[in-house]
Amino acid sequence: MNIVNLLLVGLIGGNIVLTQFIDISLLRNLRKLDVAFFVGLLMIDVTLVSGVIFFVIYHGLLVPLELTFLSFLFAVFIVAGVSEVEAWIGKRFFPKLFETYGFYLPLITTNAVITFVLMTTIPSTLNLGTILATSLAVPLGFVMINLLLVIYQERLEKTSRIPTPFQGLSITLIILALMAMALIGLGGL
Amino acid sequence: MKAFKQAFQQQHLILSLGLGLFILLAGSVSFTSAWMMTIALFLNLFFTTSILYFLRKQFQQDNKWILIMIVMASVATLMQMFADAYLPGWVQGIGYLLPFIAISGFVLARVETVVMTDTYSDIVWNTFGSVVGFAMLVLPIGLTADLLGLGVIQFANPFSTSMLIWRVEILPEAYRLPIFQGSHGAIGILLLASLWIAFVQQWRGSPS
Repeated sequence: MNIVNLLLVGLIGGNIVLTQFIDISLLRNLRKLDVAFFVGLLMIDVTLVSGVIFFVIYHGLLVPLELTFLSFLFAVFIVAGVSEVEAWIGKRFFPKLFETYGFYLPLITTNAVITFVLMTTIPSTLNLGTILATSLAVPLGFVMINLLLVIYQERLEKTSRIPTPFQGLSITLIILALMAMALIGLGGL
Repeated sequence: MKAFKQAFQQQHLILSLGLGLFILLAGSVSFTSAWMMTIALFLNLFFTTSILYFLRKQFQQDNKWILIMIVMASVATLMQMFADAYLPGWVQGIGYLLPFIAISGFVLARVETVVMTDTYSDIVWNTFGSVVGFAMLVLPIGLTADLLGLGVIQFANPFSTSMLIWRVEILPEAYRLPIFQGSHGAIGILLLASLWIAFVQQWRGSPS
């Protein structure tokens, strides 16, 4: 599969938020457009960096030593380590940005989207290009859904009166179901 | 018992705290995965919170999160290894999701509140309350998804790869809904979960 195809699958046809519900809870915590955008960028960045590191460790260390059963432990530590480094860089070089968005960094450390990319893509391929494309496409798909959801919810709050039992989680799931329907339609193209 | 009630009502992981929606929806794909996910959540919460309870005196501000991450990841890895060796049916059902339960936010939420302050018996009751609260959501959705998508009610055995213990066919093929099947299944699950959560919220009397 070429890189453009991988990007399209990650964004549309195989969007992991809507097909496998990965890290769908996080969508409810990122309700402001600027926060969703910033956390999204950070997620893409951490996925790319940890993807490359995990690729090297998995194929260079875990497979030759037959320690692949420890891959989850390694994945968690790599993501936590990369997030810590990013936090340090943020604190040191972008203090204002860190003050505003630093609160959301723990959400990256235990992020299932990143761990999912590490655990499912890297063991199945030896092609670094594929890993880079997937590490970019999957979090990008998450960011796209997140931004769309924030916009929909803002609009809904302004223009509609949602029945009480459907407020909160319930209406979010209905919006996501409609998005899933639209993306499956686009996936057919 | 008070801890059980609290975990089940005010501190419901999904409805009140908005955590673990991913494992709720991933587990709701079928009745089989729903009950397997419930067991996996119970084991994960029980072992992780128990180990963290006995380690809590070692926690300091500097090492707290790294210790928590080590315990969470280790419990998930051990469960995965145990399931691979002894429960092939379980692995076939929800195998790839097992590690993700550990990082779903359920455990982290418990560590900051319950594990750091409560007694061990309260922690165990809290675990039971959380799991019953989760089962109350996931089992009916899984059962309905099976019924509407496959037209059956079925129950699988986690100890065997041949899986099914019993299976009753209820709906003829013409009445089965494609939005609960295969790659389109997510649409049906999201809608079903939305309806069930709305119903439970109405029953509890507070929106999530």
